[in-house]
Amino acid sequence: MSDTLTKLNKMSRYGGWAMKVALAVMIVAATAAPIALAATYAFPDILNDIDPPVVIGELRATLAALTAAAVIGAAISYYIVRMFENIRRHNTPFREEVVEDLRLVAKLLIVFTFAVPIVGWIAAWLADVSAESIFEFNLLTLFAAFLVYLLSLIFSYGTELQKEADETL
Amino acid sequence: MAIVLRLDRVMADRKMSLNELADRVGISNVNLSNIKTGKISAIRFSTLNAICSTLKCQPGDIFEYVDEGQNG
Repeated sequence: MSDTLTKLNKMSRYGGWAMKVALAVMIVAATAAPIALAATYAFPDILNDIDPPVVIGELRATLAALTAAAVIGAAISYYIVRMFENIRRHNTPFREEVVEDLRLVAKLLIVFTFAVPIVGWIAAWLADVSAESIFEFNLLTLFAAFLVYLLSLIFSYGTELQKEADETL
Repeated sequence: MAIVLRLDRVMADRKMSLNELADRVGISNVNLSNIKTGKISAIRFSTLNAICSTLKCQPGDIFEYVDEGQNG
């Protein structure tokens, strides 16, 4: 195995561990946020005693948006973990499975860009508070989606070259 | 694919096994199974040179053109 592939395998292992930690954090957040949101409905009087005072409507909207962000973030983390495991298993990054995982991450980043502020706006509307200053579309995640999709195209071409190399005696 | 690799015939004539040829030429185990399963679609000149040198044959001895129209 070449030095580059050895380094790639090592980095994929470390990257996989880091993303598994991120996945665990996202799962915890995706579990805790809706529980906290439910608690604001179950125990609204507790929030009234907090100093400085908390605007319950804004808190509920924020927790709703955080839930959406954590769920989508967990899905993104899962596919990145899977991508690293595929790279390590097959000793090459140029596989259809890796390309597919990159495309899924790009799609999820687009979903993240629009879903999180929309969920926040809906939750704020239901709570009868203004959300314009809290939630807005993050164009950075949209740009990240574009970059990841571009990366998937590069890897797709690499997969074709890998196939040609594998079939060459 | 109309070009067929007839390496097995030349190897049988020279009484050489695929593993022995692979060791002498430097073909990987992956390519070994690819030869057997017909998944080879290209060959490097350096590999062809090593095969012909090892088997003491000509390139034309290990390739055969099969007209697919006549087979149909």
